[in-house]
Amino acid sequence: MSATATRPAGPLSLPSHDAYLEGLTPVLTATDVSIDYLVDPPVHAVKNVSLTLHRGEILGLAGESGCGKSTLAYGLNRLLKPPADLASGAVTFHDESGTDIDVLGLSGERLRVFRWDKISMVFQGAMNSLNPVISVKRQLFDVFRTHRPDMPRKQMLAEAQELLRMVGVDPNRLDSFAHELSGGMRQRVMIAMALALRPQVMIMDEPTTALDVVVQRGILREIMRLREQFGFAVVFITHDLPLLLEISDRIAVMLQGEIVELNTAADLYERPQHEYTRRLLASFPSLTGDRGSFIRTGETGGWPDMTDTDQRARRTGSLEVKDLVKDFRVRSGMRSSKFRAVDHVSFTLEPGKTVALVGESGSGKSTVARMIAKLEKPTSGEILLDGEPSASRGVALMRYRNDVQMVFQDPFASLNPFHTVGHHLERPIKIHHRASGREGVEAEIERLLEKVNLNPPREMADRRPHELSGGQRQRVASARALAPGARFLIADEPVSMLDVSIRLGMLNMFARLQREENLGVLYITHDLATARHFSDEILVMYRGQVVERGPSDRVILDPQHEYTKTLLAAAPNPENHGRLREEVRAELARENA
Amino acid sequence: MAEHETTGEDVREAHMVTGAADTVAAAGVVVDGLPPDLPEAVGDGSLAAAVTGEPAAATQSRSRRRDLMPSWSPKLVVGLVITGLIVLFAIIVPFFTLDPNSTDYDGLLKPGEQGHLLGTSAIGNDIWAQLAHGARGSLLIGVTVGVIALIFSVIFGIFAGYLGGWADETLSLITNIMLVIPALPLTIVLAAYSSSRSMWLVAGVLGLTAWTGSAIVLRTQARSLRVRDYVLAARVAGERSRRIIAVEILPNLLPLVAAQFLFGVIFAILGEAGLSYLGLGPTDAVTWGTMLYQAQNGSALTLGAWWWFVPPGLLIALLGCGLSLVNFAIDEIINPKLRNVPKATRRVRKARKVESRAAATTEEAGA
Repeated sequence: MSATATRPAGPLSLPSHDAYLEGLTPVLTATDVSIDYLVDPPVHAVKNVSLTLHRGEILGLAGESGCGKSTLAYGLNRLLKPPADLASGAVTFHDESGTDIDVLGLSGERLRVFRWDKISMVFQGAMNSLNPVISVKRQLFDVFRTHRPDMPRKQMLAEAQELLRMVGVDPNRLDSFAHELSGGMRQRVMIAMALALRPQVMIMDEPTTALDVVVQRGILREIMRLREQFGFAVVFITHDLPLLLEISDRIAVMLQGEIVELNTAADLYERPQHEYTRRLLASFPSLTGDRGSFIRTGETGGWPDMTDTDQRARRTGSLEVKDLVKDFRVRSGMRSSKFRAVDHVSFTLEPGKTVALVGESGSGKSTVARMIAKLEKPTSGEILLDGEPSASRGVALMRYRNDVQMVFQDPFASLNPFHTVGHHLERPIKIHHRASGREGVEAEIERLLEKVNLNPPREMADRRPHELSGGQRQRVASARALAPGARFLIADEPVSMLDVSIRLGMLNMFARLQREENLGVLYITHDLATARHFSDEILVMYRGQVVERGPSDRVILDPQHEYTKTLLAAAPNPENHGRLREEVRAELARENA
Repeated sequence: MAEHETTGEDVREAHMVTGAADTVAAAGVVVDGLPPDLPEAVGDGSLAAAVTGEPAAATQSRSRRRDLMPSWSPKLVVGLVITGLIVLFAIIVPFFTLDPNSTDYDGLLKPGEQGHLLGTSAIGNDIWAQLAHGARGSLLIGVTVGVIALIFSVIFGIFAGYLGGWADETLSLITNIMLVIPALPLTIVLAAYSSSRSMWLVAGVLGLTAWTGSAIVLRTQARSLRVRDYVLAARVAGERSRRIIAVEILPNLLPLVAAQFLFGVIFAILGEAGLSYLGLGPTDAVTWGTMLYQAQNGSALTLGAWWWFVPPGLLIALLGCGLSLVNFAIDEIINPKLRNVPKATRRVRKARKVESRAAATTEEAGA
């Protein structure tokens, strides 16, 4: 274990990897690139990284937040902003014409001409990378105007229309502005813009992270298709390893500024060499494999036992949601129209049982959560606690809050930066009279912190949120939800903002709390795999309606509704490595014939 | 069983954060008896930490309270020194001066003549005395207006922003009406009714018209804080609105409120000077504004009596400058990007220079 862990250079000379490299010509070579952040003390974000990108390949850069993958990509394209500084190394671009360009030696006008023309970039947030006050057309024209000043206007228009057609956007949308496009369309426009000058390398920084799986699948297909047509090489940066395993040719795994493993995707999946790669692979539960297995077959982990039935029988009480409806008024000018966010949703939460509510963004799942947490008033329908209608004000509401609590999505936003951990827990304890006296409250705080594994509790209680990691914050948030002695917990995407490697740990904690405290948990997520492994029942929401419900294994392994099938087909699956490419090739062949 | 469950999560984040382990082997020790391939053995502080043993995120030891304090930038220091000196001047010096309203002295004495430090006015006031007492008057008006504006803007801004709905509509309507009432004409109208205007009247009028801008800024901020998860979490926990505003929202608005207060003070001192210059200033007190008014009336400019109007004018400009600098420093807390960009650019430029110099020396050595 330790031998492979300390020898990151080993995999570079694997026979299968060497075989893969045969017949490929390099397009971009980085040698010993080091990038520092000149803060105090300096941070070495990228340490002596050497990497060769070949013509037409998709090279995945995987790693967790802060591992330096984006910094490296920005460095390759000379887009680093202070305090980042490319301290040493060389980056060479091998042009189609046969000339080599020293990328780091470029400056001023020559750099500007080089940049979008040879290496273009697709940025993470399409929302922020499109100019909101300029139409799509003008932004595409800008690219042509700066790089192809001789191009006549008519041709620019024709090119722009062609580009949009290529990325699957109606050319009539040229006059649209960013806010008039959906997230997926915006990202497609970004790709069109990056493609405008037919670059030989495209760097994609988390191009699909903010998108729903179905939209993401469409974009990936588009990228694969365009790559087949134009033969550009792609550096694909993401933390989503299953996605990379499925679509990329080679994968470089980065850890703290170094590439610890570089191999073909298939090999990396079958035979991971480095300890870190193995652990990373083991952080993703398998969607369709055995219950409790990870994406890499044959390995199972310490999953919570969800079949502990006799304990369940002892519990009583229920939180029942009946025909819940929520309409939002959408005002456009003088007219206002209704938008139905939640449409007759009913389900029952029981102690000791986890119900997963899955769906894409905008499906209404968070609105359901907010209504149950009494942050939003339902338009119609009832929420029954132990069979009694729940109140929306006064003492009765307080009693309801005593039983029903919520954990929010973003641990960085759900704790007040101004207050200590202790303060966050002390309030609900006092409000709901869980303990009396200064010592009683302090003991209770300690008990709660121990419960969520924040040790040592006494020290933790004095900390402020910015001194905690994301996972620790989410633990504090969970402790706060437990503080009133809640019986039902609404967890709204509790792990989606955390690094992949700690997600499972956090979910296991919820599973343990659920059992220890007899909690009924509503787990809201867009991640089908964890929904399957951590819940008893899955409800699939689509446009405000529950389109499918059933025991979690049944819903995932044998989906009935069309939408559930689409959702499952869109989820990245390493087992399908290379399939997308074949599909796209077949499609192109058919079109050409 | 229970033991196994606990391993299911983390156990080790405390170690991670304190950076107990240094090597992969050491990380193995930290995992301590857990099956190494257990995925949940991966603790918090990210997987990277688990493998390398280095802490994933360096913890900052500085407390939040200290983060809220402005860092000692040159801007802040210069601003505080200027403001502090003027405040000290206003507090201490008036005790040792002649009577500012006395006209017993010879008119238009040059600075230094007959023991008058800054000379005298045309009607025989001691300018030094007037300047010192004027500093008191101007600052008093400034602070009073600042406080009035602060109270109004907090009430109208934060309450409107947090409560939303009808309360917001009503409070915003009042704010908007007050926003369009201009201070100068209002004071002129009020001046026409009362022949003698006390300092407090002038301060009150300025205060009533000074709070609206801040209220709108605070309302917007409060509206965005209101839907922050931690405010929602406080609601779910069962906190009352009053407490949420006072304990959850207000502390996070403090830098903004402080900046708005300083802005209010600057506005008031300049506004008072403007009003006084038009002859609508307080009739019962000396301020820098009334000094300028008298200088204008006594045609100081044509007489060449610079010592009459330059000192009050200069001090108004200096105080405005000092308070603005403090305000900029506060701005940098609210928006740390403002603070870091110039510093970062300088650092990279310096590194570049060092590099090129090193390259030059190696070249020379090679030659």
